[in-house]
Amino acid sequence: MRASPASLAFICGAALLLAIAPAFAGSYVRYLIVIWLIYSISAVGLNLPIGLGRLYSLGHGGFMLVGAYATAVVTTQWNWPAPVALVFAIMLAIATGILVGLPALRLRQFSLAIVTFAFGYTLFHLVKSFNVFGGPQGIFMPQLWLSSAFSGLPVYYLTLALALASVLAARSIASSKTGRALRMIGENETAAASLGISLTYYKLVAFIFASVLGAVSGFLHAVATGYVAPETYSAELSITMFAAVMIGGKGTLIGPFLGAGFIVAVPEFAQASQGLAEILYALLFLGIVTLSPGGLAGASDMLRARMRGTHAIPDKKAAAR
Amino acid sequence: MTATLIYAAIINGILSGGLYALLGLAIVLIFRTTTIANFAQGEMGMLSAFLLIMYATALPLPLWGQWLATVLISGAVGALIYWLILRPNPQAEHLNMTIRTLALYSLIFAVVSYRWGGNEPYTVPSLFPAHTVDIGGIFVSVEQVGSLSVMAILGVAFLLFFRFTETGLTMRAVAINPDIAGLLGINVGRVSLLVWVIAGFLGGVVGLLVAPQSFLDTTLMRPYILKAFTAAVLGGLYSFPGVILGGLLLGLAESFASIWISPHLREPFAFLVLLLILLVRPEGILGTRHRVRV
Repeated sequence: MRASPASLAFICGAALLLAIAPAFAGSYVRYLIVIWLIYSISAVGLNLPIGLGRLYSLGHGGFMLVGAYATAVVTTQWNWPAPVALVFAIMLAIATGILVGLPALRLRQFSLAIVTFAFGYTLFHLVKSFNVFGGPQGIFMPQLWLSSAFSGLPVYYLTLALALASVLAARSIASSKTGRALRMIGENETAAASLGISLTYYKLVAFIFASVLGAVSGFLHAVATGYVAPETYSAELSITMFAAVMIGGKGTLIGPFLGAGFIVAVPEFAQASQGLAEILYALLFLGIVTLSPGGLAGASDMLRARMRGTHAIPDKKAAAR
Repeated sequence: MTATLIYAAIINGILSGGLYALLGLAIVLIFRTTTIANFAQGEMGMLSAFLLIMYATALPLPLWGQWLATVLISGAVGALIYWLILRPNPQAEHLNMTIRTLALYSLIFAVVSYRWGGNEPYTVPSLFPAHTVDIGGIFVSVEQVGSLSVMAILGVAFLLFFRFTETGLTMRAVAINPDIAGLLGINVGRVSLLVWVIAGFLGGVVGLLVAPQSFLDTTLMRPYILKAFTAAVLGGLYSFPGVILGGLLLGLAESFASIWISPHLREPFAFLVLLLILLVRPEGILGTRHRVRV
């Protein structure tokens, strides 16, 4: 994860801008920003296993589901306050992450992708078929101070703060011993193991980091929208989150924000064009990943390199093991 | 538990398992030769079913001719996908290629929904007559027997093609090492193209076999694609007999789960089977442990 002082300054600047945005933006724009940041948090989490360790997790929607449903169930049925619900959601996500991660992370690439995908898919079917989870109708959240007081400002600032915290956490993990170990695992698992890097430990750390941020994102989504529906957390969501990381540019610091911006903004702005929205979304998605393998964050590098007459796309030999 | 019920479960299991296996064959084929996991495989089949009822049924041909035309067009669609989506920036890593097929999945779904989604579901004519036959006391519909024969013939033809023809041999060479195959004079690009054409065929056949069994809508292949991937992983990803075995096993497991446990638990049960088998054998049923030299 490239973390130059410039990108750090950029993130701080953007956070400052977003912090004063509610003074100018209307409630619709504010809502869009919140949704964008919520998906960004999720993508920041997923970016760690995918971008550093090349662990292809296709079940990220499942962890968002865990966060959202844990929040909805404990706030409606047990009347727990929101902060406790958040802690509970995180604990549950960690437990789920370990439970799924321990067996699944023994697998590589494609197999891992399928097993994690099946995990998200199964969770979706489970919540849909049990009434405790609201069945197909989902669960309406109770009135929470976070989302109702000051026309939703608390949830706005909470989301912003958590987004900032998550990107800083991702940055510090990426430049720590754990980050280096994960990069080595991503580069060559066998070599990493031969250097004494515990594959199970570091893979699990990356996986749990992703599941925690997934759950945080699910919590925020439940609070911000006031409604938890199974369809929000279908297998499509896992694919969309994976796509967001890839569209933004995996392994980069601002990539997840760009990717999340794409998956939130494009369908939103294309809504006016009735039915063509999905086609436009898919075409842009296809165009970006085909023309710029490094995603949106990689596109600027590629353009700069092209002007200098060199290729910035990583060589296939170096990338594929 | 009567014997008839068990036979029926076996037949249903083999039927759906065969479809998983056929779709899985296409996935394994593409994965082996190009290391791309083709997520759009199911949607390619869905597209074929729509091509049949929207365009091919207008052709002045008998139904089997219309089917054949659709399957051929599906192959051409496979070629088109290769040219338009996988040829640009070929030096990108395989994860990027896989993501392109994910985007393609969204695109096919979006286009079909936009064009034809408003009037769904559609009924698709079956190639086989609607009556049943009596096989040793068990009544089986001709459609089931027909689907099974098509699947069996295709599966065997596929295996023979890979074992005995020169083209099949070049494909296996590319699968083992594309760079060395290229050095030996094999046109790797042409092989990749051919692989996508075959995947298009197989997707088309599966789409046309699935569509008459239920109503045709845009989500036709959703249940099948995950199962096909599961079958591929179960079989060890690189093995053609493995994916067939994996598909049949999955189909049977699901079928028995729905009569013995509960029809609602079909989906989670498939996942459980996958996890259990991979726990014991991470390399799949017929897979071999890959040794990587550092």
